[in-house]
Amino acid sequence: MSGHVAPHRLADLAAGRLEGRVAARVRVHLDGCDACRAAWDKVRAARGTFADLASAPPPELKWDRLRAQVYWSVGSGSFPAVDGRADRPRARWPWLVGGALAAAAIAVAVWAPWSSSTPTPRAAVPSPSLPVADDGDGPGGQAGAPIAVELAPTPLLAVITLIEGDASLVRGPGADELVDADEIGASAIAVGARLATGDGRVALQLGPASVVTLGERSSLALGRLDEGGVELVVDGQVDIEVARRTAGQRFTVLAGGRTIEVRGTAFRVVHRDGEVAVACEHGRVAVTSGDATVEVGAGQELALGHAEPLLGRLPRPLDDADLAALVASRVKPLPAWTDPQTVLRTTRPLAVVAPRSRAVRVDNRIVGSGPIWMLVAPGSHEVAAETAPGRFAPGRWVEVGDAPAKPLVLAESARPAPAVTSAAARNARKQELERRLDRGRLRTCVRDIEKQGLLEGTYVELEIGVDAGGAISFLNVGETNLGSRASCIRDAVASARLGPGAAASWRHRIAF
Amino acid sequence: MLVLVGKKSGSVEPGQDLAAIDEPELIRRCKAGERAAHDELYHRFRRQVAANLYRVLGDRNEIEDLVQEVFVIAFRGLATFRHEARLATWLYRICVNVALGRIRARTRRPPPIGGLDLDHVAHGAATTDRPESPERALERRDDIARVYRALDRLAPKKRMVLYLHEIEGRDLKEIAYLVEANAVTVRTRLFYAKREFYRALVEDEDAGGEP
Repeated sequence: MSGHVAPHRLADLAAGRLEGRVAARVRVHLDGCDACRAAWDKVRAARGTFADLASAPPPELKWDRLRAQVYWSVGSGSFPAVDGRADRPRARWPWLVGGALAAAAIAVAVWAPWSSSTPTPRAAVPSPSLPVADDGDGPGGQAGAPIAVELAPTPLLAVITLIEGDASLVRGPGADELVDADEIGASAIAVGARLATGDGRVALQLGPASVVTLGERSSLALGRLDEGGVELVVDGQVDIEVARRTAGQRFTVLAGGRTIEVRGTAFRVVHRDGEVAVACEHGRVAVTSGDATVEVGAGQELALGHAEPLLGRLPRPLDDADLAALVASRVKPLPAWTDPQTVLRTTRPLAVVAPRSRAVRVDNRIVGSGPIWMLVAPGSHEVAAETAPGRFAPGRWVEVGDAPAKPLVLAESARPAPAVTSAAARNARKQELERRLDRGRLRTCVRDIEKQGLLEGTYVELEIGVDAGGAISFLNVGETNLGSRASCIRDAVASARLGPGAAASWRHRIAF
Repeated sequence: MLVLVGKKSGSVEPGQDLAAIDEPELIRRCKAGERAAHDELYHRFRRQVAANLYRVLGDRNEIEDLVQEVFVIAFRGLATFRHEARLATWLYRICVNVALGRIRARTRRPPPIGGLDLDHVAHGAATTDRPESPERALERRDDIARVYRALDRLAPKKRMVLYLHEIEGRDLKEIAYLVEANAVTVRTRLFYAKREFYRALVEDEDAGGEP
């Protein structure tokens, strides 16, 4: 035998795959070759571990939480068990069928630009019925576009997936209403909508991995939302993660006199009092002001003062803490996104009432802090609130179904000391609560009593604590003559969203 | 409607009747969209799925996400299940696909800090047999680390067939089903995989290196 024995032949020998004269020759060589002997030892030692590897026990996982996440993912997409419709197989193994479907999908031009790159039978976006629209004169209008015979870009829709704390929505031009969380989530958001936040955040999802997270005390207007482009007008802070866009589609953020155009993926824009800061986590964005353009790359930030010229400015690198804060501030997209209508049809709202400063964990993922409203898949979810920094109370399992959801109150997990407040602050809070109470919902709690003509004279006294952010820190039922219906009223009160103001605690009497 | 069901009932185990039903009936009920049947399927196969993924990949990073992905694909694809193989084998095929995706993603970015998590493998194996000396346990841990380092040097498809053949001892026909290729392709892939794997194993000098 010339040279050395190839290691895989040694493995064959160790496995008994070499026989007779061949095996004998290898053994003879091994006796006289130190290098091959060393290789033989390594091969044998490695093969000795194969049985251990093949029988390694599975790691212990949090099976219940995992199951909830599975249903969450499945329920957000096309799942026959959820909507009862027969689903067609994933175009995964039959490549030819997949290719034909893809070609057909492109041919009929139903591919949604924000949907995944692999078209599925249900990825077609139903033609969105938008409110009036778009005459092209808005901030995202077609000014400067060549006049040509071409189809108007297909409008797109977005879905609000999370509301933390207070938020208000104006659905479009001409409307000027404060819409509560349940209603915000009830339908998709179209061009012209304006969102504003108090001490919290709102997440708006545009596609499978495209999420806009509006920060505290910020506002955002959807200047344009169609296949041709997305334009957000921002005052305050917005964190944006943009995934795949269609060819030629532009994604821009207008912040004062600056225009930030997306070249890549995740970044933050802060625009307050004329000052603009753009921080890019990954990808690349271009900041434009007048004729000047500066590109901000991954891990860089560009801060501009009020009316400060852009020309000659260079971005500075972000440190690790800044980058970590950028990542942490983004809301994760809903899994298994198909299109806005399907997402709204297959998800349900989950409302959690927790103290403002305490993080809330849903299915073991921290989703925000304080009172939270979010879309989840129907089914069981584990919800927990922070009791101390980094420590969570044991999770509570909730079943989210088709009927309107009651808020899950986790106030007891971190009950602060009762706020010491002035009478004026207390009265202001009382009046605010009265304004924000959903009277219709209160009525439903006592409808049966009302039908019997026994409603008059009934009452519930509640002990309420509200922190400076407007979060309800505790809410207990005191005296009442309504029996078990008092808890229904308590839940209705818990769903009221209060704005920032003085912390206060008081006894609140609701009489009928 | 939001109903508090408490911690205990949150981890509801499948009902007794479902635990006793056979596989075809379970699949039929799953296809009919019965939630309890999905629960039972999950309950029966969750550990097996986790073990498959863990053994193939050799680390626990993201294992939860991968198990989730397997079941999401399985629940969505059950309508297409045609009883060509046992349910466990079909699930294993999904595991193989998901693991391949993970390996490909891993080759595109640096490994996570900490790398392989092999204590569990070594510990699990040690407790099944005789008690071991600390030295022997350490040696075996090194051997296991060396195996996974050599596996990491293979292309994903080669790695998979090598793992299935050499470590799990599966035959070519089984592997062909699991990796969705024909037996001849698998044999060719395996030939090159073995050559590369054992060469990498022998050339690996980092026997005592931190995995």
